[in-house]
Amino acid sequence: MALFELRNVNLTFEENRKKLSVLEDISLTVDEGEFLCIVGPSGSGKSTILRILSGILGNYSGEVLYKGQPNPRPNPNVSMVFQNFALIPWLTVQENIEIVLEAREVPPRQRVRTALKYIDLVGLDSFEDAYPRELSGGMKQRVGIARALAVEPEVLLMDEPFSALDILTAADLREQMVDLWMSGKLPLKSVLMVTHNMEEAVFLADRIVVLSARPARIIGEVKVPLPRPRDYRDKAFEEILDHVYSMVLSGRLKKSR
Amino acid sequence: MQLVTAAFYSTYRVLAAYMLSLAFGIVYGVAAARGPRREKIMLAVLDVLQSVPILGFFPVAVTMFVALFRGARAGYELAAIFLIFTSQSWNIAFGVYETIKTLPKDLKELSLAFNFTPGFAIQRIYLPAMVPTIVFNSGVSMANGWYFLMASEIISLGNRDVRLPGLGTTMMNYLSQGNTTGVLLSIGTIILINALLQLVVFRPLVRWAELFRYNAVGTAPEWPTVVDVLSALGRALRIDSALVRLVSVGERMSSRLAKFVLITVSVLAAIAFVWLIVWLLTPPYPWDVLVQIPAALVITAMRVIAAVIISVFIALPFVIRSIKSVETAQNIYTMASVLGSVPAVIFYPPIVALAGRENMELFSILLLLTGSFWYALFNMSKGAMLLPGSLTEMAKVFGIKGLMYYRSILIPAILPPLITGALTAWGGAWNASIVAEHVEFGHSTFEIPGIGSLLVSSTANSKALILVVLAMTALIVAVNMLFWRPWYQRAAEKYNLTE
Repeated sequence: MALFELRNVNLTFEENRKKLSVLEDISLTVDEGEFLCIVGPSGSGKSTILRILSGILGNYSGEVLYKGQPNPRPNPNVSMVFQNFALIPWLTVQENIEIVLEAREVPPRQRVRTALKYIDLVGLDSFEDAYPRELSGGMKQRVGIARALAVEPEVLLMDEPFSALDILTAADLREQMVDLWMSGKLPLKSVLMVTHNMEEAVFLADRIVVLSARPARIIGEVKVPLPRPRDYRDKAFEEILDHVYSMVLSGRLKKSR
Repeated sequence: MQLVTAAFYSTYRVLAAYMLSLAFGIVYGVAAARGPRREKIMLAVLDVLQSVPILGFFPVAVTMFVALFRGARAGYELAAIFLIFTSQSWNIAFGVYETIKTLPKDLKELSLAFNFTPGFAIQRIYLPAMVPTIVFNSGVSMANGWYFLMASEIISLGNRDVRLPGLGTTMMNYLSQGNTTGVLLSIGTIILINALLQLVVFRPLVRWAELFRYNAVGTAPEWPTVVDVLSALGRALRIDSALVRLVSVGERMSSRLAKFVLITVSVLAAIAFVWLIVWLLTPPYPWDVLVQIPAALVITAMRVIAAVIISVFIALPFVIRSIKSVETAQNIYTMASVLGSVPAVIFYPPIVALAGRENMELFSILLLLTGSFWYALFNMSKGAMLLPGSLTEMAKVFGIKGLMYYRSILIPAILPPLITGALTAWGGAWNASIVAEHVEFGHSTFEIPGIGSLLVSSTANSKALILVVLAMTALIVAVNMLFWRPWYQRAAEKYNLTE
């Protein structure tokens, strides 16, 4: 069953009185139970799609459906992980998680319980009272993930969540993300992640949608039927990665012609 | 003993005006920043209000409050508080506006993505994000309130003076008696009060405000006791929820009631304005004052320009030291807020003694500096504090030193805050010209020609007074719009430090 369905979505921005097309005729679905990655070059409209789904942006044309109904703005069933963490600097780790629960009117006691549970889940116990400025990038993003999970969404939207981290930290967090996703401990139904890192997409996703550079158009789709945890040096892994690579490149070539 | 009661009265007035300034500044700043349709007009109004010299608010304050209370003491009290308010609030409103305009996009999206209601976002994101600006600009505002104390506590109505008990009045009395010890004692009291306020309240607040900076790294600042005390007080008085409600009203200007209030106020203002124009255009014209205005404007403008240039140059070495050193910037903040509160008048006698009456012309520029220098210092060091370290590091790595370092790296990098500093110094110098060009000390009156002394001498004739104020305001606003703003725009674009 499709949780999200986009039908012929177009979006143009106006910048310095020039019309700038960002999304062109995007049609895709996010199905229940899948980990979907959208891959495309930096500066394409990848993140914009997430903002449309979460209800932050509304000035698009076309249709966006959630469970067959028009997508509510904001959509309370989704939650977001940000590229640059978006932690509130004057709140501690625990407070940063509690505040989004408070906004959804969760009673105080349950707020604390839920916050601590998710802090534990991402391996940040004993850092409850630290401020974001005292944490490393990897720890900051753990808070970002814990915060997004704490509101117990059906769909988790992730906007280049590992691209502001160093390679080792990113690999570590990616593996933990797979563990969390496979554990079945979360009420999560689907994950939609946006990235420019093709390896990362093949490592994580069940299905990959490849976008072209601005304006973003869908070039194609690749299924990743590999068991998890996946191995980068695996032959099948490399084949799928090559496939995605060639798709992205073909998008580029078409562009330059 | 008399000093203690006077100090008590003045402190209460400055603090009351400061509370009002905070409320006004926050509500106005948020309303201006969050409504693209009202933004331009609200900013223009703020620009004009900031340019009206504090004495220009005299007629408004006096007629409005004194008439409202039929000459009762409360009316004068409110008039004085209002006058102090006019020296404090615009700067806070501008600060709030700028903070919201430059609020990180991430924080805005966060509140949208997690469905914060507007009230919740204001209370938990917008208000806290304003803390650094508000705390920093409060330094200027407090200093300014004290600087103009004398102008606010002595309310002239035609040829009658109403003197409210307070340090300003006390100092003026000592001045007219020629009692130097008394003057020094009252100045000492002002400095003492400000130093205490800084030490107990604002210095801890400045350190604590570091916590609210976006993308800061390193250990979090300590939670000072004064914040606990203030927040307990605020919660007990329900200030936070009241503030949120106030801001939300400013936010929802489109709601019917707010629209009604807005329209009523603008209609009243328009009527008052038309009435003022008609009244100004009906004879008799105060020709004797009118003919003096152009020359007086030119002569004061020359002094003001000199004061601005000197202010920027003196502030520069301090600013360079505060680059990347939060400690130094905080010390400059404390020093400037304490010393900036010292009224200009105190410098008169020594300068006269030093210069002799013949050279007063030249030395009066020094007096304007007391009103302009702190502005330049405040705003320039605030900007320098935010300079990215990579720039100075790059200069070190490539061995860029000496004159070249200043010319091609440092000055361009701090040009936007430098222009802001010069712009505010320009406004401050104009304001200071009023208290600096005319002083009575003992039986002698010191006066140098200029728009300030012209303004003081025409207080008896309200038509002449308003004409002088209008001429001065028009010049300041015109120069702001034709010179400072375009220059700032260009500099901010060209020397933008965020990649």
